[in-house]
Amino acid sequence: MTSTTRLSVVTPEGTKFEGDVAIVIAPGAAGDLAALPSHAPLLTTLRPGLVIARPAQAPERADADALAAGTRFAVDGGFMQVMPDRVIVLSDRAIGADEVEYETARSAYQRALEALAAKKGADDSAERIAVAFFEATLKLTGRSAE
Amino acid sequence: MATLRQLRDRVRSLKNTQQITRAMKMVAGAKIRRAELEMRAARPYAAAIGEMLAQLSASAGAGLNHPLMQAREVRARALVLMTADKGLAGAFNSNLVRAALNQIRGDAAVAFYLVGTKGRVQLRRLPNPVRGAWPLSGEPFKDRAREIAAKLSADFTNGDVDAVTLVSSRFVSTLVQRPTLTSLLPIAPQGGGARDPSKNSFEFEPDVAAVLAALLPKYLEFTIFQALLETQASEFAARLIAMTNATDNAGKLIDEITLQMNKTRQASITKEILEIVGGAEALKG
Repeated sequence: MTSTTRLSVVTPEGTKFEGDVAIVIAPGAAGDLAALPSHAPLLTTLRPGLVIARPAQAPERADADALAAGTRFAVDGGFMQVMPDRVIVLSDRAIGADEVEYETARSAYQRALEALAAKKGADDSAERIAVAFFEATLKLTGRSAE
Repeated sequence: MATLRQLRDRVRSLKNTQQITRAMKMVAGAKIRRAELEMRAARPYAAAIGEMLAQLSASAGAGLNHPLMQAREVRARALVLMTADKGLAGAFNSNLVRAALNQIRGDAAVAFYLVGTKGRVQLRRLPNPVRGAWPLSGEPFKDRAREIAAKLSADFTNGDVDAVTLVSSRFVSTLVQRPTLTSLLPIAPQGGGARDPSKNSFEFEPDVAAVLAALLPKYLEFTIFQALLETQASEFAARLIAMTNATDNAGKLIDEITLQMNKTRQASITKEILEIVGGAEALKG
């Protein structure tokens, strides 16, 4: 049994991340799910939210601190394909924790909220996704919107 | 024979033209590098989404059913034609338009979706209906692809069109761009289905139908996105070649005319000297 799995985070603009990780936690369609190495093959849709991966080299702990120190991405939905030795996250947009700036993330989040409020009643699925996505990017900065 | 002044004017005008073509050549050269990088960056996504669709096709088998996959009797055909917004790129736009015309073979019922201004201009005289038109540039390709995909899916599911083929340019290399045809709708299942059943033990969340319903629109959108990238890279490549040739040709002409100009000047100087010498001789006599 292998102790790591190869994670790729792929967007149309390029591969955001590729590396061996010990665990991947993703916002699956039916609730957050964790994929460990040797996971059974699975194909799931993703909700907008955070994809968290703990690098292979990190200490063997699964508590919140260890995960927070791992590699984190905000994705705006998409798909995840899990194979025993490989995890592919496919998303239109993915932003890594090192790419986010608090101010820009906060203003993007607020703009998304306003856009959602403006759409009241009409089809607002795209706006809801945007809000959830920017909420996730804001979480990457470790600070709240206030 | 042209006068010295006429020749000098021609050289000046040629130099101006050459400056413009050289600038366009350098702009195209700079842009093509970026376009190529973007194209390369999109490849892992293409591989991943293709594999997911194949996985779905293999696992679901005959149970695969989605409005975008529905193959029905083709009464209304449609073509998506991608061209550039601007000319001065050699035969680039004409080649694409010709490929489209070869497809419809004079059938006035085939509907068009036109991406890129040049295609729209060249097809203006055709009686074929145009169901949608977009410029190639001006908006991020991701948004443009989403718009086009949304329009195509809506028309397809409404039954307005039964089959959609894409005519776009494939970027083979800087020297070779080829018009290609891609079938967009209905989306065909990938991978055939002759697969090792033990490898098809995929689980789907929430279920096959839901994953399929989310994946197919993305697949269509991404296919269009990739075609936009390739068409644009091809446009830059075609322009780079066309403008390189134009710059070289202008250079050749300038050399030729400069030579002629020098000869003319030389001839007039010789003539003047002869006149002076002749006059001096006459005075001596």
